[in-house]
Amino acid sequence: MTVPMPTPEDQTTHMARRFTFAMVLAALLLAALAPDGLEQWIAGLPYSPATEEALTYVRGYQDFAARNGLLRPGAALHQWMTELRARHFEPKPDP
Amino acid sequence: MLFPTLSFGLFFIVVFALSWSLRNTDGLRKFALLAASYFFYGCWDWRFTALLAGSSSLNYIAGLALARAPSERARSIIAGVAVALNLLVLGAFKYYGFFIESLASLLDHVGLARDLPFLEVILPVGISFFTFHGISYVVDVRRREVEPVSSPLDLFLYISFFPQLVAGPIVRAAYFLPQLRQKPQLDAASLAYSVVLILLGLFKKTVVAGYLASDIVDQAFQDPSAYSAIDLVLACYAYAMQIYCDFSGYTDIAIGLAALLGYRFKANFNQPYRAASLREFWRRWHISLSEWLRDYLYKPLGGSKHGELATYRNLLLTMLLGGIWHGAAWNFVVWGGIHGTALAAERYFRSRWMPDALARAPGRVAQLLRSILGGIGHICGIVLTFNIVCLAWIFFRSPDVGAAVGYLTRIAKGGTGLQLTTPFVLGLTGLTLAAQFLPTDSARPIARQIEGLRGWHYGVLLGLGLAVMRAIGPEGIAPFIYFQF
Repeated sequence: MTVPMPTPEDQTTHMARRFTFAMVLAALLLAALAPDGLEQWIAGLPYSPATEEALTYVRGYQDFAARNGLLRPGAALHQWMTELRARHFEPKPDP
Repeated sequence: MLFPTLSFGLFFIVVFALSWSLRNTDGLRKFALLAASYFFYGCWDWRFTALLAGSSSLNYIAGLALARAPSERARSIIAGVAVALNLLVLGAFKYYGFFIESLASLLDHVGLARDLPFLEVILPVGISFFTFHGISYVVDVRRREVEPVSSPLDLFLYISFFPQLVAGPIVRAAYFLPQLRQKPQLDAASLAYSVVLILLGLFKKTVVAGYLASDIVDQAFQDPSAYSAIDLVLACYAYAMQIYCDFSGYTDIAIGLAALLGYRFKANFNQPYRAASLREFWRRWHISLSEWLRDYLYKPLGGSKHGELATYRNLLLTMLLGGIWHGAAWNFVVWGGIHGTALAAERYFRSRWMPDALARAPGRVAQLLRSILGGIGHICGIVLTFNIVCLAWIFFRSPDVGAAVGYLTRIAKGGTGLQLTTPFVLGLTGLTLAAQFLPTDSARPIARQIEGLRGWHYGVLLGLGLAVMRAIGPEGIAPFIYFQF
């Protein structure tokens, strides 16, 4: 599982720029598709007017995303997984 | 700051961009990585950054002293003192409470009960790992396998480099220090491989290990008396898969992160549950620890050079100490004892299981018989090894020896109810086990397929991958199991 040695031609600077952009894009995409995680993260930060304002923005975006169906794929996957986990070989005994 | 969190993701974006922007100023780049590593460590408890710095300073000074030592005897004394000091620090933080508690219990048993000075000592995260890095450096310098480093920055970075700081892999000084002297590079192949490893590691940890823990393992080990033998046996197998996915997932991420920063770590896992013997298992499981124990404990004890009995003793001692390295509790000692005893027994039977006459007989029939017996032996070996490892995991996972014995007693009592055994848990455990028999390093062919991707492709791949894992994974992220060691 050793990571392969780099090739002689030095692509480093290009690759580093490419991947910095990729990580920023991934973070934005994740925030767009799963804003609840962003909300939890901001809520966990020490309280300040800035975090309060950020929370308002994120919650506003969450409402927008929910209205426009952006959260539907994630919710469908979550639902599918929940149903998969709920199946039993025999009826669950009463607690 | 755990790897699969937003905080770490943002931290890594900054560190990645900063480190590559400083690529042409070697000292500044290393300093930035060192500062990032201390910040990362300080996020757990900033007070322990002083301990980390103290441990690094001790080993740096020991290296310089070894370089200037006038004789072999002086070199031995310096290395001995440095190793003892490293172990003293580890002992004070990790084993003090265990030692005092065990001593108090012993004195109580023999009727000499005393008030002993109990102290609540907080265990610094990753102390076992950075202590082993320090010892590895000093001993390798003593053996002249590594040149002592003159730059404290290099040694401090070697010991505290954040991808491996809190849970390994234990990277050898001889492997890592030369990399610090070269100009780091990043190319399409290592970028693609790193991305695949990181996504794979995150999936193993956040989805597979997370569900196995929450849906069966934690419940079964919390109260074994409430479940049937079938549930408990499956929980034990599920724990084998959980700890593998948890730890190898962490290692995959660590290897990927290090490679993205231009450094290479060796593999730490290689499909361990396909091993046909305990010896093979330890060549596939936590490889960096196995090699460390082999080179710095088993071989100095004499290894296999002084006859059969001494070899068995050395195997047992090495595994007992390997067990207690994991945690200051008797259940880890028993875990090590099971592995040590099984390794010794395996060594005894290995050369004796096939009848001598058949082993030496010439001819095609004998050869055919040998290969049939070899094939059966291999399959039996895999099954037996896996079950011995799982038996030992019960002691590893239980809070104490009594709880582990209770777990085994409950299994022995039988019962067929299926409260925890669901199609989902059974399927997840089975699929994870089946993945052990896939071709070795399956990540590499996938990486080759994505080598040519553009920046935004990688962005979409990472973003969607993380979003899917968040959607299908359980709520919350538990700390990695090996962080406690």
